Amino acid sequence: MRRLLDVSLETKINGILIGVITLIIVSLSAFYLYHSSNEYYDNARRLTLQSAKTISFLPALIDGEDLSDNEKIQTLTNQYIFENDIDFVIVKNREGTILSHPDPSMIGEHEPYDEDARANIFGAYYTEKTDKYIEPSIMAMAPIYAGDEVRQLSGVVKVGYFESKIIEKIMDKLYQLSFMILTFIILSFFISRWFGKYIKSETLGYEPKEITMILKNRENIFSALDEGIMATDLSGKIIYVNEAAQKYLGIPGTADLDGCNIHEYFGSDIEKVLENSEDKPGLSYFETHLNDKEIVVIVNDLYEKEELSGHVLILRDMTEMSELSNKLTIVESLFDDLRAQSHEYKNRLHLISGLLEMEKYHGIRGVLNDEINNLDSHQNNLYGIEEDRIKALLIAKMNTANERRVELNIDDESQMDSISDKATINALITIISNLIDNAIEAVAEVSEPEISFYIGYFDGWLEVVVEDNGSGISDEDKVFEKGYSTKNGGINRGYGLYNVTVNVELLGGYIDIKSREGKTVFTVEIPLLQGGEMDDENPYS
Amino acid sequence: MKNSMKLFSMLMLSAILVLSACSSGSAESDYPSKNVELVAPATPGGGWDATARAMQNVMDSEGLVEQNINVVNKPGGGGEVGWQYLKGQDSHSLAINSSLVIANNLLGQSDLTYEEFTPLAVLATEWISVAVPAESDIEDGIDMLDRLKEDPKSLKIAVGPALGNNDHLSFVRVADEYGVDVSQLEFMIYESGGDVLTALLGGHVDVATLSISESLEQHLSGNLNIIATTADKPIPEDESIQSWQDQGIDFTFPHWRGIMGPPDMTEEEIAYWDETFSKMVETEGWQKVLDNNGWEDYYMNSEETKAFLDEQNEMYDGLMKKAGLTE
Repeated sequence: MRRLLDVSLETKINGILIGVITLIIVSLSAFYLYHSSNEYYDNARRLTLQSAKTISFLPALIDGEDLSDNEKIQTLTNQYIFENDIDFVIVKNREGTILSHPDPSMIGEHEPYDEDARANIFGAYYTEKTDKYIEPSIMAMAPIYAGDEVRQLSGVVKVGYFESKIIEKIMDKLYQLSFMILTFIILSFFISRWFGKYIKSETLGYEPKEITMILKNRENIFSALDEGIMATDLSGKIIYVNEAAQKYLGIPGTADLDGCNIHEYFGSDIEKVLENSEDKPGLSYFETHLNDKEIVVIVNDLYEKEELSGHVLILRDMTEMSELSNKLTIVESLFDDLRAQSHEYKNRLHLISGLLEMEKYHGIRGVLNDEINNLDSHQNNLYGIEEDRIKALLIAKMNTANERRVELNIDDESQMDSISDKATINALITIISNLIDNAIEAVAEVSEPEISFYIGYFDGWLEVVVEDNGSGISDEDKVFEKGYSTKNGGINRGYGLYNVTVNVELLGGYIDIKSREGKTVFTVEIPLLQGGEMDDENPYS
Repeated sequence: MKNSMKLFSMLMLSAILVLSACSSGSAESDYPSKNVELVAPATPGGGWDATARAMQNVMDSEGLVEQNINVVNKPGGGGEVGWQYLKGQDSHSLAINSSLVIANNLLGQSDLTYEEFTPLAVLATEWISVAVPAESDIEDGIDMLDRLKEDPKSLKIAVGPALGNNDHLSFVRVADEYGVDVSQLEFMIYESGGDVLTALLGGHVDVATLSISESLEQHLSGNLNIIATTADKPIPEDESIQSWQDQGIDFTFPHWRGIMGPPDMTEEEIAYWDETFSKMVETEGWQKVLDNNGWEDYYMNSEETKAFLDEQNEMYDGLMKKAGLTE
C-alpha cells in the first residue's frame, strides 16, 4: 500500500480519477443491466400472459362449444404469432387434447395436465419457466371460458416466449454498454491526463513532497534571518510572519495569525506608505519604534501575474546601528572640539608671543589668568555632573561654542548621577548634543550670543533645559517634524530636533518648547530617578 | 451553499412539525369526519352484500359510529372491481373481503395483493355446503363423489362468483382427496352466490357449492337439499345435515369474511375501528345477525387479522400448487 502510494502526483491523480470513473460507470452499468434484464423477463411475462388472455377471449375459441375446429384455431394462432412478438401458442381442450401446436404433427395428441393444471382447475392466469417445448421459454397459461352469463372452463391457452431471445437482448445491451464503458474509460483517461497536467502546472511542476521541502526550507531560512519578514495581502491581513518579525511585533510564536492586520501594529505609518505606494510603486520605508527598539520597515510590493497582490515588509532593527552612529557623532564632535581647542590655544599662544614681542608682560599675565579662570569656572560648573560621558560632551560643546564666540553657560546647580544603562545614556547624549548644537546654530547671527544649559533632577524626573537668545521659532509644533529646519540648507539639516523627539519618546519623556521675548527655551523631562534608574512606576511614563 | 442547506433543513423541520401536528390533531378528534362507505364487492344478495348490510344495521342501531354508513355495491372480477375501487379511496371507505383477496392474486386474476390494504378485522366465519335440488337423486356427498369419480363430467357444478373462491377450493380439495380427476370437473361459474342459488333452484345445474348462509333457508323450506358441509360440528337449525366429517372424510374448511381499509391508514384510524368492531361483535344485534345467517363469531382484531392473512396466504398457495398433481 505504502509503495503503491509512493508514486508521482500525476500518476496518483490519473489512478484515482480513472479508478473512480471506471468504478462508477461499471457499477452503474451493472445496475442498469440487472434492471433491464429483469425488465426483459417482466416484459416477456406480461407479453405472454397478455397474449394468452387475448387468445383465450377470442370469439373463435369461446364460441366453439367443444373447441373442435382444429384448423381454424391453428390458423388463428399462427396469425397471432406472426403479428405479435411471441414464439408459440398451444391450445388444449379440457380433456388434454392438443388443438393447436407449433409442431402440426402434435395436433390431436393427448397431453396430460401438468404445469397448466392450475389454469385448468382454478382458472388461474400465471407464467412459468419451462423447457417442455422446443427450447427453454417463458410460458403463460390462461384458461378458456365458454359461455356468457354462465361460464364454463373449456380449455387452456399456453403462450411461450423463448428465453434465448431475452438472453440475446441482454447480450445486445451488454455489448452496447461495454462499448460505452470503454468510451468513457478512454475519455476519463484523457481527462485525468489533462487534469494531472493541469495540477502539475499549478504546482509549477513540483511534487507535493518537493513543495513541502521547499516550504520547510523557506521557513528555516526565514527563521534564521535576523531581519523580520512579513507578507500581507492587499487588505493588510498578515499572511506570513517569520520568527524575527514575531519577536519584533511581540506576537507569541504559537499565536494564530488569522485576522491579524498590520495596521494594528504600524498604524498611520503604514497607511501613509501604502497610500504613497499606490502612486509610485516600488520600495519605500519608514521608521518606527516597537518594544523599545528602533525599527526600519522596508515596504515592497508583492506581485502575482503582474497584479498587485500584497506587500512584503522587512523589519530591520536599527537600535544598534543608531547607537553606533551616535557614538560616531560624539567622537566626530570631540574631534572637532579638539581642533577648535587647539586653534583657540594657538590664538592665545600667538597673543602671548605678540605681547612678549612688545614686552608687555602684564598683559601676558592677564591673558594667562583669564584662561585659568575660564577653565576653572567651566570645571566648577561641571562638578555636579558625575556622568563622565555627559561631562565630556559638555566640555566639547563648550569648546565649540567658544570657538564660535558663543557663551555657553552651564548652570552651577546642574547635577547628574552616572547611568549604567547604555540605551538611556545614548539617548541622552543624542538629546543634549542636538539641543546644544541647535542652540549654537540658532544664536549664530545674534550680536551677543548666549546659551545656558541646565540638567538636574526634579520630583523623579530628569530635567534638561537649554535656553538661547536666538532668533526664536515661529512654529512650535512643526519644529519637531523630520526635515523641518530654520537653518539654511544642508544635507543633514532638519533631523536634529526630530532625533531629539524620537529619543525623548523612547525614554518615555516629554519635550516642551517656549519661544518668546528673544528667548527660546527647550525643556526635556525624562522619567529618571536620582541614582540613574529609569522610573518604571512613574504614572506619566 | 451552507446557508441554503441550513435554511432548507429548517424548512423541512418546521414542515414536519406542522404536518405531524395536523395529522395527530385531526385523527384524534375528527375521524371519521364524514359518511363512512362500506363497499360490498358483489351484487346485492350474496354473502359479501349480506355482511355489509348487517354491519351497517348493527352499527347504526347501536350508534357505534356517529357518521352515516352507506353500503355501496361494486360487483365484478371476483371482488377485484370493489377492491380496486377501495384502493383509491380515503380512510372513510372500507370493504368486505374474504379469502378471494388472497386467491385472486395467486390465480393471476388480479395484481392486487392483500398486503396492499389495511387489514382491520375478521368478523365471522361460516361453513360451506354442497347442495342439490330437492328432486335430485343424489343421496349424499359420498354418492356424489362416487359418480364424479366414475365420470367427472357427469354432473354440472355451480359456483360463484369466480373459480378459486372458498366454495370452489373446498369442493376441489374434497374431490381431489377422494380420487376424482378434478381437471375434468364441469364447473358452471355464476356472477354471485345469489345466481348460484337461482341456477340450482331452476335446475340448471346438478350440484352447487355455496355458503350455508346462502343455502340454509332454501334447505329448510325444502327447495333444495344440503348433502355435505365443511363444518366441524352440527348445524343448529337442522342437525340432520351431514358434514364431510360425518361422511368419513376428514376435512373442515372455514369460509371467513372480514373487512379491510384502503392502504396507509393511520394507527389512530386502525385503533378507532378496532374499538368499534370489538364493540359491534359484542352487541346483541350482531349475535342475531350471526344466528340468522348461520355464521359463527370469528372476530380477530387488526393485528391478529394480519397474522391470519399471512397464514391463509401460505395455505392457499400450497393448496393450488398441489391440487390436480397428486394423481
